[in-house]
Amino acid sequence: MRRVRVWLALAALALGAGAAWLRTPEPPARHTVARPLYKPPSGC
Amino acid sequence: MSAFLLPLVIGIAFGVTLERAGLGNARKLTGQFYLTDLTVFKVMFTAIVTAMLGAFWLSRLGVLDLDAIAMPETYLRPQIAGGLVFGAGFALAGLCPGTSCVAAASGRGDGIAAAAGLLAGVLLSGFAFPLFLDFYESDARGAWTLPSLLHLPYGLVVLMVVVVALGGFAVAERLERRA
Repeated sequence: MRRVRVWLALAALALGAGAAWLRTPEPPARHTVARPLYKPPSGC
Repeated sequence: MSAFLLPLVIGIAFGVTLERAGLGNARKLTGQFYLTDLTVFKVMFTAIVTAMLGAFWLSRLGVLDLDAIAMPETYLRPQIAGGLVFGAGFALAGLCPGTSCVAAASGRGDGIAAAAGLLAGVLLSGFAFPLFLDFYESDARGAWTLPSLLHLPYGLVVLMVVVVALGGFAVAERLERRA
């Protein structure tokens, strides 16, 4: 179990280091969740 | 039909996983607040790291279009207030919304009470919504991300989150051993 956790930690570190090394630009965050428009009850 | 069935299947699988991890048990969850059982922290941070690395590399390999993923916007003060209310409810009930459903589904009385309280709270806050609508819509910050906030490259932030998670796991294990 301990060995599995060490390997998983190393894999995560390797993937993270690869991500940092690639210098990928952040994707544009254009697509946001549409805020539900609240409408007060009209009474009818 | 699959639009309804798929979320149902994913939800049941999520619930079963939470139950198997022992997260339907309020004693285990409140251990988080006493720093004696940090399972919640470890489960959540593992999920964050897995999803983050998966999103980064799948996007890098051209499998996933990150731009097509909806991103929740930040409303700072309302979300801090919501977080505090959420935390108070979590500490009081010993269960959060997801785990209260899991506890209720497995027949635990506290889970049924917490899930009933959750539904009542949703209903009441829905009725009271006009009272705090202005606050709800205030302090809008747009789609905030760590790289834009820290002015650091995306990949470097990915590595930083991995390192913080692994350090957090080591500290959590030490705290659990001491408890």
